[in-house]
Amino acid sequence: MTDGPALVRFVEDVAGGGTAAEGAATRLAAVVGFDAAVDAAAVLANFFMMTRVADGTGTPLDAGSADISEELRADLDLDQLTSKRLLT
Amino acid sequence: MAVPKNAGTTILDTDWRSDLVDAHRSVVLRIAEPGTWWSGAERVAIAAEHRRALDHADLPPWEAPSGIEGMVAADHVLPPAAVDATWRLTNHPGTLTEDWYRTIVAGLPSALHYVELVGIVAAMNSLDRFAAAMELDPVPLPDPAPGEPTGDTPGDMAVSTHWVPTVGERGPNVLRALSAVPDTFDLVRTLSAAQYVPPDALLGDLSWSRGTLTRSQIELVAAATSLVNECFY
Repeated sequence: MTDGPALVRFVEDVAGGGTAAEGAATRLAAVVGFDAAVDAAAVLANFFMMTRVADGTGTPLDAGSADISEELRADLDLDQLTSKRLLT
Repeated sequence: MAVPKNAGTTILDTDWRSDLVDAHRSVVLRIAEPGTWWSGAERVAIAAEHRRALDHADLPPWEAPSGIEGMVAADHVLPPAAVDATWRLTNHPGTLTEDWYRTIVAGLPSALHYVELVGIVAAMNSLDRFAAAMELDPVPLPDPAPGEPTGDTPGDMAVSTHWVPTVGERGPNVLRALSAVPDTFDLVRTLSAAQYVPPDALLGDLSWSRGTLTRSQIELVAAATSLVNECFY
């Protein structure tokens, strides 16, 4: 994916806080452009929100997603997360 | 173009995408208004506690602020459980369990108070994480608006798939999470439409883009952010 590593590094730098977060948006803007960096920050912000909605309410993975995501979850070790919730 | 780092500059002072700026302005103003279950003063207090929690991000998840001497004033406008829930949701959302939820709700007037609190904390996280990412100041919290909560209760809510009561059975589970408090769900929906993808493009147009990031790039940022928050969903 185009500019994927820069986008992921931006997320990790901002989420990590401290010195890594300083200049993270400027570094991303140098790669993807300023307006795209603003939009990336907006998506990041949105998922700091949605993760709290999902995990604060005990939202389970959607029924149709459980089977198709099984291999991916195993690859990423996601089933170890405390927030794992599947419909039973 | 360099990202501004001017003290005193908030998103409301920028000329960035107008629907994004308008969404942030709208949500912070609505947080100061009476909600469905909390007053304006209580909602602003929840928002303020979210910001206090950010300043204490090193507090481990097993330590509740109300259990620490001097951390929560005895005459606080919020019940201790609301303060504790706000801090835990802000800093450690991936550690929450159903047992924790039941303990918190036992200290609140109702489960619907909790649902509204989750929406406010989640929205505040969104506003302030955006500001931090773009090295802006957070938008100041307005003075609380007077008035009483509406107390509107959906007639057909039930505890079924989530810990919290929800309404209806159609649609992605995360979009049903706040459905028992529609006004709070609307806060989240307002931000999500401006920050992520408009509702009609969410599942209907997988190539939708604002002309900056592609939909694939948007989803990569979304997935990476969910992972750093240890969110299984």
